[in-house]
Amino acid sequence: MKRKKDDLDTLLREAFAAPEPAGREAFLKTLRPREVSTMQMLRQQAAYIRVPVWLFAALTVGLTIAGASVHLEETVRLMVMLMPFTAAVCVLETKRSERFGMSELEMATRYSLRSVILSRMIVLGILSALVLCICAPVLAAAFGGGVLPVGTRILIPYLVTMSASLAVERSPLGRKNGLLSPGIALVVASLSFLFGSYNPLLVLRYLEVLRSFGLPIAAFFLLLTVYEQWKTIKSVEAFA
Amino acid sequence: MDLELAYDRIYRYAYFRLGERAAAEDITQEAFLRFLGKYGQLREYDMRILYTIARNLCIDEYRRIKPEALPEETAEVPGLSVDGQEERILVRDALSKLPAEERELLLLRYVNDESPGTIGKLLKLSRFAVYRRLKTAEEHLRKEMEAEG
Repeated sequence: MKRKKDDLDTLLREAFAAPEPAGREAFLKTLRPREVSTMQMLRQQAAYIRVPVWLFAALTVGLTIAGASVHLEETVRLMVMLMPFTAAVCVLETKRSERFGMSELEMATRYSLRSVILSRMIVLGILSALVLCICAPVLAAAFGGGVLPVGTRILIPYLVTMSASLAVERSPLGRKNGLLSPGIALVVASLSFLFGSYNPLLVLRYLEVLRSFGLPIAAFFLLLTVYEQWKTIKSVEAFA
Repeated sequence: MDLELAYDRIYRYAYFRLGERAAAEDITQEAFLRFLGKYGQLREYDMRILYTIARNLCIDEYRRIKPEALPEETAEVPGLSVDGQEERILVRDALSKLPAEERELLLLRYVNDESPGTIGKLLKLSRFAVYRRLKTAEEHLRKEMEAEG
């Protein structure tokens, strides 16, 4: 041996020299990071959200404005029943990747599935907030009762549906079944309807509670929803 | 970790586990795609995760192709003298007689420059166990080289 035997690194490097991979450069070229800002990411994901989702949001706002303009008393109750479905639509839209086999496509765009789902959640959250911000003042102006109580009244069923749907969709049953979120929305909407029809006095008591404690109750469900969203993002590989 | 360097290390690792250039390249690319699918480019290339993905893919592929101990085809090392070439053949012969686990350890530590911590996490060993097994692998390699030489 001409070289020192303890020059192990060099000897091993030479022995383990692998042939040049043929497609290295072409592959690496596709992997080099594309600079993308948060706003660009949100815009991209907004473009991926299906037209029916936007239409549903527009329909909700349209019905509110139409109902308020003709002073239809049932408009608030209708909104209370529509908001759970808005939540279900948002959850289904967030979960769309898996149901339509888009995971591979999203992977190929070189962004993590987590960032894609997070961006989509933000876009859908903004959309829901817009619906709420338009509908609550319109309803409050048309039927009285104050923006905050009306706002919390339509927000709470939305948040209850959203947090329950996110929790259920992560379960093995939710991953197999695509109809659980609409099912939860239907249950919440039906309960709201029955609650309002059964005893009008109860509704009045509920509205009083909302006037006093609407904000803390809504904040509690908001925190619960954020927690469920965080858990969904964490388990995104199983979810999406 | 630099993308090119990470790619070369994973490719080399897969190549010397499987002995097939095309299969190693496929596994390397698949490992990167899976990593990016999970973490995106917001996270730095984590070698431990990349090795784990590549290792699992290699195990699946290994069951399918049953490769030889050490691949026949290797890269030319520029500027290597005749003695150097002989020495290289001698080391490769010695390596081919070592168990696959010891070859894997030597490759990770001395060629890919991975820390004992990273190797330990990949192979589910303590740092101490990595040092001990490396020492044993080195001794075996030296013995084989002496026997060959």
